[in-house]
Amino acid sequence: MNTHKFDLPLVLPVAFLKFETKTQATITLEVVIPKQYSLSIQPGQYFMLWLPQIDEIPISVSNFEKNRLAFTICSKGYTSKQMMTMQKGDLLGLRGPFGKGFEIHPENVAIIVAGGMGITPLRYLIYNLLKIKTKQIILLQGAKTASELYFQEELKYLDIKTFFYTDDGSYGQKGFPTQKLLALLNNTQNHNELALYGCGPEIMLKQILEIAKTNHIQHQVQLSLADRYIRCGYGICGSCYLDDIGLSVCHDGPVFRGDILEQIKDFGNFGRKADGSKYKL
Amino acid sequence: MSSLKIAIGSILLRNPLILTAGILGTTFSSLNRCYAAGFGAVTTKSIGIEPREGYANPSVIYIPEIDSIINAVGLANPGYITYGQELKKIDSEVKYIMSIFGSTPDEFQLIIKYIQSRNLVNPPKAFELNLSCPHATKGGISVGTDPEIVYEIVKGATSVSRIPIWIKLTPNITDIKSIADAGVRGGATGIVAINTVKAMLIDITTKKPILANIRGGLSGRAIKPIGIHAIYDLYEYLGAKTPLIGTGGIWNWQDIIEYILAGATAVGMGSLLFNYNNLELSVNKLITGIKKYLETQDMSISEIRGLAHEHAQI
Repeated sequence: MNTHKFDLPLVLPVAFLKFETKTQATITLEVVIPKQYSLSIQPGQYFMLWLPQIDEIPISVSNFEKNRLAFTICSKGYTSKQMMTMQKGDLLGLRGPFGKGFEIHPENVAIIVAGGMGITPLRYLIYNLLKIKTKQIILLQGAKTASELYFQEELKYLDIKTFFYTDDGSYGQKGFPTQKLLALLNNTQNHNELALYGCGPEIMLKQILEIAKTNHIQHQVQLSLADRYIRCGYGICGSCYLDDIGLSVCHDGPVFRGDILEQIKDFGNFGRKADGSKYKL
Repeated sequence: MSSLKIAIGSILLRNPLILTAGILGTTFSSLNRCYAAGFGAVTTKSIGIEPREGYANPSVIYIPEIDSIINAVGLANPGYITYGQELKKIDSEVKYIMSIFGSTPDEFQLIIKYIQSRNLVNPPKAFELNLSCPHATKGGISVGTDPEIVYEIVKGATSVSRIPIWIKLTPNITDIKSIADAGVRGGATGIVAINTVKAMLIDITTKKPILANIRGGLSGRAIKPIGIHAIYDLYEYLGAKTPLIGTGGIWNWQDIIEYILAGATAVGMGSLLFNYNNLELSVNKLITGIKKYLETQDMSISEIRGLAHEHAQI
């Protein structure tokens, strides 16, 4: 069966909304995809979410189960703030799925490193890994503070190993998930079956890659740069290209393998703004 | 295999395929990548005086029914001073055209003079003047729709430029020949036609325009016949002496041949790269197709230029 991709907006009413935290800084919106459409969404792929006459922003899929498609949004800019005020039944336009996502294999031991909002595409990844009965799933989730450990209540009850970290020590261990990654790799004999996944601040992603490189497993790492500026989604407008090898975040990514990322000089160093100019990360 | 080498005035290219302005041209790395993929030349994103963020999204939408793309990016660019840094890093073998825009002859001159003063190791082969900007004083009309303004801008640009000046023509005009004529009188030595065709989309569920800017420009398959018509007209009017770069809706090698038969010296393309899988393969397929056609016809690329006109004269 052919799968659909929406290039023109599919406009649907929001079917479900839920604040993920008491501070109401993060919300999950769900829409129900009509039965006539067959969607196949790789974890790590994203949709363009359209608020007519306001803007359209790229948001990673945070779950897709039984035709219910979920996106988790934090109030980062004007458009996301508007989305936080949506009510059930309000209309939302969707285009996608766009980009390349995470590749998964059942025989792997998956180590997932999440930082802050980076957990959202990784949440959908975890459900996919569970579905294909991946050998083992280990989640190392970090955030600034306890209230930003999104989905922690949900994920800790899944059949996966979880370790939580906060910068201020308000939940789990005080510190960063990358410390645990380092320890795990040092204590693992067989590195061949490992698959490392990550999403979050690029500084953290860069650390993951460095740790992987020391263990010579950079080709087993997949990291999402979903936090970067994206305009067109088709790889043609040129706004999101990574120097020096010239790959687009929107179409060649947002998920890249570690052995590709180690060739990208911008990775962990420079971002690009909407006008195309560079800034230091 | 026959050679696809061509000359656009004094500019020699390994083949007639030019990556058009506005596609993949914001960064030195994407320009390098496209040239390495096989294009004869690549064109930068249109660069202006001030940095511009462009319009909000949706700004680029593929329309599957007509294999076309509607866009209203809004000339997003980092400004000519910042972009000068980008040009320094373009690989030395890359042949590229720098697209620039402005509202007045002075603005075009300022950018040209600045870029020339940078002593770039690999300077552009030509400046392509994007004439889609609103005029500074004439009530918002696009500068490319008034022959007198076009003449002033091109004359100003050629008077300071050490390299060829090309102009990109809009199809959104009654008589494209009058603009081309003004450009040639001003000293342009390459005519690129066409730019995007005015277009818009409305979502019937929300009853709202889809593009954030409401109005945009159409590129892709739907506009190819419009581009062919423009090149046919321009070749008929200007003759073989003026190089023409046929642009608009090229989707396969047959489209390229069609443009050359209409009178194009070279072709510009970009929209067909949307959702690319393998840039090298895409460009290679086009080149192989053209070469095979020329072999079958036992003709060179310059020999088939404008051939459609001979039939018309019978």
